[in-house]
Amino acid sequence: MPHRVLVADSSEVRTSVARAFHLAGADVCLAYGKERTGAPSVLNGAELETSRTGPLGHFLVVVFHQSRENLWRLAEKAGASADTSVWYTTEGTPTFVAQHREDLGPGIQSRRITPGQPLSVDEARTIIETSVAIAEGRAPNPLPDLYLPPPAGPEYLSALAILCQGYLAVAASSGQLRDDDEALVAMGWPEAKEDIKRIVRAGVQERWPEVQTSRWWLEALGFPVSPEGRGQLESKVEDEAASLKASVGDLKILLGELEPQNEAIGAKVVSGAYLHLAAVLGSQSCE
Amino acid sequence: MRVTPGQWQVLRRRFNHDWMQNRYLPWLATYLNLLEDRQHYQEYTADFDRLVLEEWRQHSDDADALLESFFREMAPSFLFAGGPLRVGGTGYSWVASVADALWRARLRAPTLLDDARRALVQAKKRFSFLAAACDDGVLPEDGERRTRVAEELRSFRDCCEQLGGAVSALPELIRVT
Repeated sequence: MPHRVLVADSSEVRTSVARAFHLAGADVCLAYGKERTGAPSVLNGAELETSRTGPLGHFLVVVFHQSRENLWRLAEKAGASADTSVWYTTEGTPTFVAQHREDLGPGIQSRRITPGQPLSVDEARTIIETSVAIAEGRAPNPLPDLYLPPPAGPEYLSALAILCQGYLAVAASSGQLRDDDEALVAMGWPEAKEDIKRIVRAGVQERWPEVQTSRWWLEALGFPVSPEGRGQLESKVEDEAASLKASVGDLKILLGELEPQNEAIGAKVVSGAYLHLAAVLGSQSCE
Repeated sequence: MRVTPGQWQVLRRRFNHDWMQNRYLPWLATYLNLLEDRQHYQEYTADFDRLVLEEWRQHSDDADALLESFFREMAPSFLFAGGPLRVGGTGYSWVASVADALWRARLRAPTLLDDARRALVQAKKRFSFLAAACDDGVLPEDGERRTRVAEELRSFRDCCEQLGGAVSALPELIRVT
């Protein structure tokens, strides 16, 4: 007998969520309201509508949009019950929901469910299998990746990009790079250079030698100025690049330059490293 | 940094996603329908003050706070307060200023913020007209005044939609490249 799944949502993804569970072999019931129709029902707490007539009965799992938990509560009042529940979100940060709404229980934290990234049949199967395990008192520990937040963001890659910007701004301000250098253009130098020249002007003569030292780079990130420190940074960078399914690319040349005694890190090396970082990070950056 | 969203992202989500998009705009749409629907009109007029006027008064302060803190919490310099760059100390504060200047230029951040501020000012202005048109919460019975309230409500709704769009256009992540 197929597992029974109740999908409680009024958002645009509700049908695709229900379809994924149907294709995963579940007996699916959809509960929704009229919140977006402009009907008066929204004023007294939304009228529950379901895809089935008759009593709702018992479900293995209720899968609900985190901002529409009221639908699940209304379904409970209409006689529904469930062994387990799972929430998801279509916008905002799932991890934030998890941190601030512990009362909602387990949820899909790995990502948002959107029209462009609907719940897959495999993910629906994972939810069904996990729900069965939880209902039988053998909850997996840890929960499957679907329920867990994505790995930490590329904080070292982001930090290196910022240091590259500082270096390149000083290099440009002191005449070491032309204004049309590809990395300068990519980082917004042409539009911001007057502001930035005011920022670095006071100390540009001292800063140019300083930013060329490996000490400046390693100490900014809290690593010892030593081969071990350089190795630790390289390891962090490689891990983060791998988590983004990216290569270290031209960043490798900059990392290789961060030997303790080096006081002549070249502008072209940093320029190449920044362009690679910009390509890898794109719009991901830090949340 | 990815795992723990900053306070600004929390405010943005609560204001724009949870409240404006998922609650308030649907309510405004509902009341626009009601103003043209005599059958249900009587049943819901009592809630207008609570659901439309009071809600805006409570949440427009959130919009002020959101826009006021945007530069402080979403510019790259925010990353110097946490993560690997926190250890560099004051010797690197000029790098934070450089990164912020580039960020403002790359993302046209001041323009985006100005757009949102203008939309908020306009919404507040249209709200005051709406509140005056319906005697601070009492929806009128006579047809001519109802038509005027509907017009004011529609103008206010349009401003709220623009505000929601302008807030959505502000970057959700701290963009460093």
